[in-house]
Amino acid sequence: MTEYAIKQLLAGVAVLFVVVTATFFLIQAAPGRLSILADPTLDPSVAAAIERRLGLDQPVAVQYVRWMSNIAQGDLGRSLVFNRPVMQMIVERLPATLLLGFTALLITVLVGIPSGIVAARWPNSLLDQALSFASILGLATPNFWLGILLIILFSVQLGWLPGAGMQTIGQPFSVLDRLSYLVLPAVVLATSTTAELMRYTRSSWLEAINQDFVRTARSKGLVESRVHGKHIMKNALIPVLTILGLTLPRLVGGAAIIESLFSWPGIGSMAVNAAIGRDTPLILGTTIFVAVAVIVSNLLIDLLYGAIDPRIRFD
Amino acid sequence: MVRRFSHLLAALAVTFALSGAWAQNLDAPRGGVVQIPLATTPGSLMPILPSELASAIINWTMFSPLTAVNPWTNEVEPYLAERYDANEDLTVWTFYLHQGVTWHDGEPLTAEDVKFTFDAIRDPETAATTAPDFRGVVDVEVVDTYTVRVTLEASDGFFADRLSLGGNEIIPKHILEGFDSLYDATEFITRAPIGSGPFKMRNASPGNFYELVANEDFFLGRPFLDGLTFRVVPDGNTRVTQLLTRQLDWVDLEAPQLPSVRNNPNIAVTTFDSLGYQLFAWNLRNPLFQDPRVRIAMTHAVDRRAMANTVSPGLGYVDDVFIPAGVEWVARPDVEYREYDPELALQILAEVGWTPNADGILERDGETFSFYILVDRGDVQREQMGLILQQYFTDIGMDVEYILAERGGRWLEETQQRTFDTRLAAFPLPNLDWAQRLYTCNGPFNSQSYCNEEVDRIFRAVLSTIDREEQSRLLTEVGYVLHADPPNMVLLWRDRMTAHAADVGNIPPNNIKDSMPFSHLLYRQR
Amino acid sequence: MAVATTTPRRPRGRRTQWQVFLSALYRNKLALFGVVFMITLLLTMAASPWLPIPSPTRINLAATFQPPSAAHWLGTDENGRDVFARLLAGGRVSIAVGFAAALLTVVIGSALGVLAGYFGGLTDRVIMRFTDGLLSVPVFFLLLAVVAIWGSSITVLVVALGFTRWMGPARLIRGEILRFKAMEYATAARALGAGHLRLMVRHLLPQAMPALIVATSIGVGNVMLIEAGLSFLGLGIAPPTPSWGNMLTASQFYMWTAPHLAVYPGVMILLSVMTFNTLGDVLRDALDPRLRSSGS
Repeated sequence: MTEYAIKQLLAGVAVLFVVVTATFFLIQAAPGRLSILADPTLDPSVAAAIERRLGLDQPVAVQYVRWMSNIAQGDLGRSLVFNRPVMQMIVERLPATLLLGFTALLITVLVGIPSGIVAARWPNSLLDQALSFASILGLATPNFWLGILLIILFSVQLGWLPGAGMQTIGQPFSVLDRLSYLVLPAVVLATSTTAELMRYTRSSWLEAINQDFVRTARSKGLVESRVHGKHIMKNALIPVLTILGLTLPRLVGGAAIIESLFSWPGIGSMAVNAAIGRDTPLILGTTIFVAVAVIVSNLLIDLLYGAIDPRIRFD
Repeated sequence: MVRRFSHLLAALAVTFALSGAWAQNLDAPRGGVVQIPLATTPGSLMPILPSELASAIINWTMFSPLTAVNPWTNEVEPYLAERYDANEDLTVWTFYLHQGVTWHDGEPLTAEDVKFTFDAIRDPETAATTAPDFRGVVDVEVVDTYTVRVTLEASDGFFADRLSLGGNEIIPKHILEGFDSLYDATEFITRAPIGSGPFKMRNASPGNFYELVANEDFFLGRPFLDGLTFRVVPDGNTRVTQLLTRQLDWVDLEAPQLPSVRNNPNIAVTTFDSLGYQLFAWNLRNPLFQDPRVRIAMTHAVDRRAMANTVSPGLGYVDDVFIPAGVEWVARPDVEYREYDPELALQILAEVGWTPNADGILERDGETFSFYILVDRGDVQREQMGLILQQYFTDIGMDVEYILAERGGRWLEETQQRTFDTRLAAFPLPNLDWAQRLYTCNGPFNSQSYCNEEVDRIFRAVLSTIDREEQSRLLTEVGYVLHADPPNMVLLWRDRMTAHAADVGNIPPNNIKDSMPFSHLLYRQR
Repeated sequence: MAVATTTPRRPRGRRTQWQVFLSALYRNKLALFGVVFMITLLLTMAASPWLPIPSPTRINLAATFQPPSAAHWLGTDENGRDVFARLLAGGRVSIAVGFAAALLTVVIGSALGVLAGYFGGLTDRVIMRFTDGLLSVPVFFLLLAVVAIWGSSITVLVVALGFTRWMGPARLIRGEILRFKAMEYATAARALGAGHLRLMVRHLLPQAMPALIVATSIGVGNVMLIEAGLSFLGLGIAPPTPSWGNMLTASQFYMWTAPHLAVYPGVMILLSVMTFNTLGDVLRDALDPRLRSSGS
């Protein structure tokens, strides 16, 4: 088990190294410079001084070696634009992203799995078809477009929910206030993952129903609800867990657009700004951080498998 | 003779206040908070370090410059300096500070702080944005606690004016002198700045919001508001939505967004001359454009008024004068506007040798008239104007490509290397000094390589006088020269708009950023 | 597992497979609607040079924001360009980018998947560890960085998407290959002296074709959504090339004066993505009954 975990971790780190290195050179080989240097009214001598200070006047290989040796020591480097440790900036914004991501995940699980089970329980019923149609729509709508529509409806027209931000400034923290800001972005973020999880739950549930041991259980006279409850649940949930593992990086990546639209002060909107502003250490540092977090959480999910189904072995 | 500006300028301000519709309410109610958006997280809360728009906006509410542009009149006024003067040949400038000014932490602000700030700007290691403005500074000297003397190596009639343009706000010596480099003061830069401006930082949440409270001891009087809140809202349309839902109180508005707020009784719109223009620049290193007749012909090929009316309906104007009409003390040169006249354009081009070939493309000596327009991504108006220009030039038989490039990428690279064919850009002329940076042969912003000896000579004369009438006469003269040998095509002198909650008062007719030094006058009706 | 003992399925005749597909399509009404929509759209695009449609890029400042008319079937946009023509031209770009990027992901994915599945052992472990590892990386951030810096030409976009989204197909194909490799006829072909390459390309890859087709169909829809999202961030396909994504983004500014400009491209994206997703389901049902009930 430990060996398996270490292997997975090492593989993840190796992949990360390759990907991040490739991206580093892709960025540095491109024409143009840092966003703060893109101001045409900035005097060339000042621009040169800034580049000197940031080490951008060094050859790309030198910059890379310096950056990578810092990373190897666990230091994600400093943002070029903000002149701050990348780690510090991530930590500052992590709570917002986690809050949004976990709320979306919660919606995904709470809506996706039950509705998938319901659909599978009564396949081809009107309910199944309605849910299936909803999931198809959910998967096909550009999420920022949905977000804009929801803002116009709930925020501008009805005035029920705030359209952007994370809290009412100047007021002490309250759960209700935070929730009112959280609802719209979390729902939009959860739309496609919920639809996907529902479809997935439905099909793995149907598959489980048709497996031999369920038939056996039925023939032994177990009541239908018990069949559904225990045997199928166990077998259907394993593939569902896999999907959840794959959903995590998507929730963070997809959050980039949603966070920008809703002015949510998380890691995603920071990454968008870093990409546009060409803040290489910030964008790559964020990528590394999120990747490591996902690798670790995937490992935890793998271990959960073992808890659900002891038959699963790790190679 | 010592020239005094403060009285003259004060008198000017009074005249404006009386004559204009922009009278300020100086007896406003106290209390309330106004919420203002920032498009990005401010890169630096240290005003002299290089940064972007968001930093400029927020820093002006927390730090005081020696001089500031009054956003109602666009005139430079004394600010932290109660008054200032210059010697006869404009090489020695003396600033007399307000007495009894304190920093937000209670320490007194003195001439030592001014010297500290100016020396930091002059230090190349600081890479301060305004370092070029201080290149001519020989010495900064503390005369007494409240007097600073700056010695220049050459006459410069605009030295005090430039201090008002941002990036020159005074920073506290007592807090910062302990750091080897200003960049090491990270707490100060990111969340806990100490300034002397009308508002002070109470709670900073980088990437999210900045909560500022009134500085009770502000030297121009306690702000009317109890606080200012800056929220980071990256998306322009979201900002307008936030105004509609009362989460923001004051936003910049683009022309297409006007209908969203127009009939809303809770929102007021302010329109003003931005003193800046959208321009189409030829690269004059390219032989294609070196003959002024070609540039004049291309100007006739574009219906600039129809274009202006499309991209910015009812806002702004087009003319062929290179000084904004908003600078009222400069007499307008009496030059003819180059009307839309494609026939004339073709006729002029034919004189230069460009005639349509069998495919209808202009050709001379077997070479076709081909070029590309480089447009920076992100400005809706420019993106649209680039497309329209392409259409007009194509219509008269030019082979034109439209290239939309990332600002920090190809656009910047080509601008700096001066390799573009033509490009679109916006240029602010908040100060006439900036015109010479754009139009003189060695001007720092002259990436189009425009060079006209006559223009250079006149601008040298402008810089060596502070006599407004003489400056006006010279600038009118330069207008004629620029008209005959156009450096670029004026696409639009921009009028801009802001929209604000109707219960906020003393909103100047200016953009949000340039209004910030006078944010202490903003108030909220009960 | 049962797979090893089943006899190899005989490749079904083209006609029967086609019939299976049609009947599956007929059962899925949404997919049927989508296919009819897509065929109509593609035919209209193909026929557009002969239709009385103005140029999609022709600017006319005298006719901006026109309502629908005989000359402009869906009216005109902020530059007086014909909206209907732009929808067609933009659709051509969006769908082409979708297909190109989806194909590229499938090509990369199947190359790696086949290699991993066929050789097994260390090759398999290295490739699959790499694939799994990449699935943990928020590649969207890297995509943003590359596109923001290199500009989002169609080529950059397709290549960047192709290289960041091939992991799903790779896993899928590997699974298929493993299944077929175990079958007797593959062993037989090997015994008859077929080389590695020949065996992979001629015998194993065709077996995985149904899965590839399904993956491509769903991939097209996903890429279209990503293109729209990038446009919203200002990083999508750059004008003057129209795409549904950049049309949708440009229309945000005119939300209050001309909301319909946002509706057209939005609905087109929605319908197209829906079509490719449901088509993927139908293809799965028709081409490979064994895949029927599992997710993508």
